[in-house]
Amino acid sequence: MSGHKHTCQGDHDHDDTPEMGLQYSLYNKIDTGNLECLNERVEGSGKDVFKAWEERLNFEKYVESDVDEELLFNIPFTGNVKLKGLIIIGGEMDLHPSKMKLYKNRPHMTFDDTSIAPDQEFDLHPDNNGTLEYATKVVKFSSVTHLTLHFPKNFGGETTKIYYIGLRGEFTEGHRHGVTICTYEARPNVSDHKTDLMENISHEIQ
Amino acid sequence: MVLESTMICVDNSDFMRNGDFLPTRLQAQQDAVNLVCHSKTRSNPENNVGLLTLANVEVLATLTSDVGKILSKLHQVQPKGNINLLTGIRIAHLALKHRQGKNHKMRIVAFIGSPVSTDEKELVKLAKRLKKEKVNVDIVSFGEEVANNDLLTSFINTLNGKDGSGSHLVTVPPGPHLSDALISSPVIQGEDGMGGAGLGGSGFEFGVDPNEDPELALALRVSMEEQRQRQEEEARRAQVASAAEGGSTTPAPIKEASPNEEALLERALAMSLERGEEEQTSPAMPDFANMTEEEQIAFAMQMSMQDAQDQSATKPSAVKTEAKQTPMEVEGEEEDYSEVMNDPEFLQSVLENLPGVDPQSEAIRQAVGNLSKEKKDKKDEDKEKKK
Repeated sequence: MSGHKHTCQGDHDHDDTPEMGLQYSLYNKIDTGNLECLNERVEGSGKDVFKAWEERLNFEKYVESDVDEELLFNIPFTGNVKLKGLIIIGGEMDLHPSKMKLYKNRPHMTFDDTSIAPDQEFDLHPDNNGTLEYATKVVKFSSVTHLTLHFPKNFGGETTKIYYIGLRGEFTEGHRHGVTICTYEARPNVSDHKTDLMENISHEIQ
Repeated sequence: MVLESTMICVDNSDFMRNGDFLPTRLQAQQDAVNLVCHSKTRSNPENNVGLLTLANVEVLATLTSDVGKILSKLHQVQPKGNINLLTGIRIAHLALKHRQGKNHKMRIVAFIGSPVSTDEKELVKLAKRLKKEKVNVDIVSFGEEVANNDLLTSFINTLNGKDGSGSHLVTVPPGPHLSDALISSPVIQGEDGMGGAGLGGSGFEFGVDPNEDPELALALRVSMEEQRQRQEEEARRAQVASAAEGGSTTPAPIKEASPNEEALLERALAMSLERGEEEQTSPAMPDFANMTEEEQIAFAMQMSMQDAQDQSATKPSAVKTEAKQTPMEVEGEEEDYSEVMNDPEFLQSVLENLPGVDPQSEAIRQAVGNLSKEKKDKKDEDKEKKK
């Protein structure tokens, strides 16, 4: 499945509207503590590419692949995400990724696991400003708690560079797995509710 | 405190029958594996360890936090066959991928004691794959380290990459001490030098297990620290004093006592009194155990003031450094200065050195005279109190 360009009617400047900042705000909902990037050259640089829309052109923070040109991102979210679109700003010329595979709700994927069929695949086009948006099949990605992005190929370079990954969609709070065992009582059992309230009545001298 | 799952790969090839490590390479290896297991579990109780053999590659124990299971399987290992490093590491990686703790970092610790016949290119390819998947490998090379050195070095270097330092190569020359060599190595020490604590022999300072009685261990450690600090201060003052007055006394012998809390305290007190002991006419050591802390402090103060008093009575050329002494560490620096200030001799010498002050002038002499008189009165008071 190849991605398609986002066409906008009207004469507004696509990039500068504050709406884009609002729409591409899913980076806030990423569980950055468990965010993992495999084959990154600099440990921890994978987290840096999930930044605010306004920062997308900050080319100082980027991730570069290490041993070969593949990159894998394991992105857990703090709740349920309805993923609608992605924007990828890649490196110059050959270092830009050419293919992107999406896998949903498969935590801790590794490169060997990517041999299975992805939930959606895109052919990427070189984009250095973030104008190209790749729309996902919303039905498939309507309830995503964990997203995996795999970039298997690039345009010929030794390594792959990515400056910015933007995620657009909706967010809902996740289901809290709280107490699942509960007992209902018609009348309270005093021994279950030990409190020292009775002993702590203060006596004031008036 | 790294959360880690470690696969330990032991070499059980025929080369392990060799006796250049005592008693055999296999036994030495078993001790070393024991050490590694315990250090991993000690650094974080949630860590998992697994075991596999490198010749006839077989997983003997899957990742578990139960060290006993690992050790029991370990003792059943017999030398047979030839090492197959590539397959071994691949299977170790596979076992790690199927670990239960998905948040754990992955690590392989491989003991290699026989010549590795794999192609270097294959090893480098494997290293790159492991690097992509963020697996760290520590290799302990012993026995055939000369033959394997280049191969293993290039493996570890590829794995570490440009700046990485997660993987290590430890080469152990022949001798009886495989485990000892490991203790100080990065395999046990981890990356910040932490893991070595508590290991080695009985391992514990003062013969007290910090786990069983942490307060006691802490108290002992603190008193040793204090004693050491006091010693350093004394040494410093001795230097100053000897520069000013020349010469120094030999310290009275420190009382040796069996290492228990009371005795240590006694020893510490003795240290501070050691130089004063020569001056005392009656070097009776009161029963410190029965004195409360305050009484001890008061007593120590008296002792040092007494010393200062004696000093002022004798000629300046006499060799005394006691006046400069700190009574007890707990009193802090103020005591030192008051002692020093109250010593008329010291004051005199200081005044002499001050420009624009005539030590022979009336005012100064009076002030100094008053000081000595005060001290004489105090001394009498104290003597009475002591009784």
